[in-house]
Amino acid sequence: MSDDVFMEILARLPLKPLFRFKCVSRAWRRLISDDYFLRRLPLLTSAVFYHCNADAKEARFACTSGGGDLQECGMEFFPFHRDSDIVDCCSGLLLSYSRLRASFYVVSPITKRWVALPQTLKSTHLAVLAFDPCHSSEYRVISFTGWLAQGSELEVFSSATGEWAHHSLHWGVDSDAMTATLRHFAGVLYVVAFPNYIVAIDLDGMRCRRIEVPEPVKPEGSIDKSGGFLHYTCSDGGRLKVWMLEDADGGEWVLKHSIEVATILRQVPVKMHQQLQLLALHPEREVVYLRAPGKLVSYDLEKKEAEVVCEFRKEEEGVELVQIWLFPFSGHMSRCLAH
Amino acid sequence: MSEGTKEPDGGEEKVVLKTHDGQEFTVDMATANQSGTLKNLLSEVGSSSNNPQVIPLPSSITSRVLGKVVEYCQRHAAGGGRRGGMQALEQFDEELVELDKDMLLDVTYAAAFLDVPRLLDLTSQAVADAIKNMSVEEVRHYFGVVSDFTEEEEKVIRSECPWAFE
Repeated sequence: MSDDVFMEILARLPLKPLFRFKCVSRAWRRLISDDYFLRRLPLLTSAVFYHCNADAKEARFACTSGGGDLQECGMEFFPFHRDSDIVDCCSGLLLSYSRLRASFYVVSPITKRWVALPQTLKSTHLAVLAFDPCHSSEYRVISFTGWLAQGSELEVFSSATGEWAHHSLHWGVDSDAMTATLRHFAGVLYVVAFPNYIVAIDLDGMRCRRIEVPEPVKPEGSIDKSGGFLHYTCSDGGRLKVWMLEDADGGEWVLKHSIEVATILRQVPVKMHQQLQLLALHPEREVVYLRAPGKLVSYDLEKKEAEVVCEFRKEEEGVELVQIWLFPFSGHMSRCLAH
Repeated sequence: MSEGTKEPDGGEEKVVLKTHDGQEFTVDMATANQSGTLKNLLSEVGSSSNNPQVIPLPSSITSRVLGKVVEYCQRHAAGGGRRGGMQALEQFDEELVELDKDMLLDVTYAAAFLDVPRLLDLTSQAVADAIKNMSVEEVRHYFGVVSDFTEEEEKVIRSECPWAFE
């Protein structure tokens, strides 16, 4: 059987057997590690759920199991799962914080591994996990410890050094203008800021760069890297616009796509008045991922075809879906907590 | 709801698919057009009822395998409008891929060769479902693959992702 046909089969496997079958033979390992194959895979999905009953706010985590279902990953292997909160998730890794111990934990529900980070010097106001499995197996935790008028004090933990380091940042816009819309790619943390900026924080050099976006930012905008280029996608409710920055160093924004949201809604069984929430762009393909109530929807911007990627109605029963993340398949995922 | 073009004499365009083992399958254009490969080919050469185009197929697509593909294409050319609607069509799809291993892999290959995307989707998913809970050894046996790793190499790969073997 040809490689192409094998890829059709492999692309439909859940994560666990896919990693396991690297052992079958050299040819299988080569196929599963192949860039071309990885680009064909749908984005993996993970989601955090909370029970809704007021007193017990125990979090649950689920991950795509293949075949379009979300499968709950039991958190019992992580001994502090009951007395800590999930504060962030990035590419399948969770950042958990225990108030009781004032400690951060990085947890991988897929590989069932976890690590306790050393103590921070100052208490945290906001913490972000930065992990890009396409780039490296290193992850960072950024703990913002104090806000300045146009910047912040922060501590950054790197899994490469195993230590926290103190820094201060000046981001070139008022701190009040910074939104909670942020994404991390290849060592750079991008934060959307009002009225029309993306602040790019280079975590290696700890420098900020202000990138002007072509239209006023909206809280539901999304920052993505696709085909190696920075993209800004926004929706005004009626239209979805995908902008691409031609050159990271001061290039022009190009409007790549502008789609009427109604045309997407017509193709999926979603009621017209229901909103679609932007989630992410595919890192390689011209595909945008959207969340509709109880569903994850992909829309192929070239073929103009919408498809329901997964339904999480069953998982959502009696619980509240807090956040859903999409991340690309990568071998780095299995190695990042392997100590 | 056949999409076949009526010829002036009222006959419908047909095409003959000939397998390596000598069997011939005569199908209408709507059925043939379910296959991207045949559609492209026929758009260039054309076919008619009196003198239908004969298309020879590679030896890997036996008459038994082609029979399955033709069954799928005929049913889907008719669409959900016939015989119980979309629900019946979905059930037909489900039952179609209930095949033994060799047949399933052969139909998967044929669906890829003939470019029948939905059928390829169905059969690939059926294979993936069949192997997803298998051990590495069982998968080797399933596909008739012999490991070319040394014991040491295999140990290293296993140690990289022990969670995948739990």
